[in-house]
Amino acid sequence: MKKILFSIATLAVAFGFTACSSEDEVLSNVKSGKTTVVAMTEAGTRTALSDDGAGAYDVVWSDGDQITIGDQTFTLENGAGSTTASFTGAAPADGSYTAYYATTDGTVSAMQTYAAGEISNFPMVATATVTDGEIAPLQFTNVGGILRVTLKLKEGDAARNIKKIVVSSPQLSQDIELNCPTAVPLTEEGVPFDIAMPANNYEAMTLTFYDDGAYRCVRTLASGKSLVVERSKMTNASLTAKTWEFFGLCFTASEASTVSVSSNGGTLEYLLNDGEWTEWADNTPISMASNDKVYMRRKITNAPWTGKFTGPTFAMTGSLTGSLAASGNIMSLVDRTGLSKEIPCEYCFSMLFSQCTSLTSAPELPATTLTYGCYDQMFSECTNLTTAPELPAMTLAKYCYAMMFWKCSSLATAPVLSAPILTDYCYEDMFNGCKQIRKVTCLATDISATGCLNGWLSNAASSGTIYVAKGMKDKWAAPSRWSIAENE
Amino acid sequence: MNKKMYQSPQTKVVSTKCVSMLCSSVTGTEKVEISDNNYGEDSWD
Repeated sequence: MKKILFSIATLAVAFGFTACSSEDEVLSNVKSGKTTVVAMTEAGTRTALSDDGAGAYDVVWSDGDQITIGDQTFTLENGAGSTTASFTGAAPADGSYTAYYATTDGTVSAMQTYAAGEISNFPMVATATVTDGEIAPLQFTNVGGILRVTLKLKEGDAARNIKKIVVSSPQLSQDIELNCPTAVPLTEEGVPFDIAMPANNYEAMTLTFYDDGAYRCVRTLASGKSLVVERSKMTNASLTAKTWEFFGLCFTASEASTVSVSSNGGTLEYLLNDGEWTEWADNTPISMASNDKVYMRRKITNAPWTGKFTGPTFAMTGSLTGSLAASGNIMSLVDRTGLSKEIPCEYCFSMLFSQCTSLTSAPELPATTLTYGCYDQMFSECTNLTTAPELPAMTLAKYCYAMMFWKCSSLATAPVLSAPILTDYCYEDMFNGCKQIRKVTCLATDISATGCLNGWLSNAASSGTIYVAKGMKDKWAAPSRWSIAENE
Repeated sequence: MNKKMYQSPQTKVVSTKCVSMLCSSVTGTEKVEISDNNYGEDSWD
């Protein structure tokens, strides 16, 4: 028993939550209103829901289901489609355990996968007693509840296909995502999506629906309302997708302007204000009046990536005129849904806006998986760029940000550089020539990579401060008349 | 809709004698009831 408890506790520390040693303890945590969710892989377990015809649902086992008892994993042998099933695996040592299904401690997974009529990662626990190598039959108990969101297409709206639903609440430790491997078509009658949820009385909640074309619809629980999810119960929410907004790459003109692009990464399309999506021929300028908006995304759904792997994939180099503010998610150029966080090829956005003096603000760069040179020279010589995007990736690639803001002479604020380990040449000449930059925050704790800081603040402001991670002050060498301080 | 109260699922007992370190365990599950709480269009901004 001690060995098993140690094993569970080790897992708990790894995931940052408190271990529970018994089924009762797991369930008492649920009753106390804890709403911890934990990231798990999408390839988790799934359970089918079967209407019993009497106002309730049977939770029935599915092929491939697995449970854990102690440090052993058991796999469904027979009983798929039934509430009773037989699992096979190696016996743990004699003793009492908590058996787990779709959880390591009773928390709900933050990553769930949609399948019609099924719910993924719906956590269950049971008391398991092993005597002389025999396991007594297990009686599983549901840990959380189910939120069934029935989403309706607005009457008269064009077709929409749902790719992802995100549930957000201050009472959740992190958002819960329901991902649809194949986009699900909406109907005016409504399509149900089942989401495993921690039981709680949610005083605030936001549901964000993403389609397969970089549009999203946000619905928020009305002020003064609360939403109750009870253990082992299904709460129904029925609502209409009323308004969709594009969240991919967008340009907004503040005077008469033009925007043009060439692509080696597949065909793009654009939308001018409220018009129709139109294929964008390479190097064809789109004329914009003041306040016009042009939206951009990859044209073909699910097309194989065809971008070059050894050179810049897209180019607007010097082709923007007037005054243009970029906004929205750059990833709509490489993934039509705009949901990908992985840059698909080397040098993907290298030099994209190079010498675009009309550009006044940068788009969002949400990728967390980078590639060699992916943002190399992306905004070089954008002399009217005043704001920089956040850089959320915590793992870097060689040359990923090299010369990214080279000679951006109006850029006054540098993005916070949070990655802990630098890679070869990752920040080389990153802010070279950014004469307004007087403060840079770099929280790396390993700055030993070759050339990673070569010239990164050359020709920046004549004096300034580099804020570094605690304990790292002595490992940095500041440019002349710059100082080093620990970040608070 | 008729609300059905919780019912203990089947827990059929079969032999779970281990053979060559493999053990078979029979499991049952708990029903999910329909909640009385419903959140229609008026509940959302």
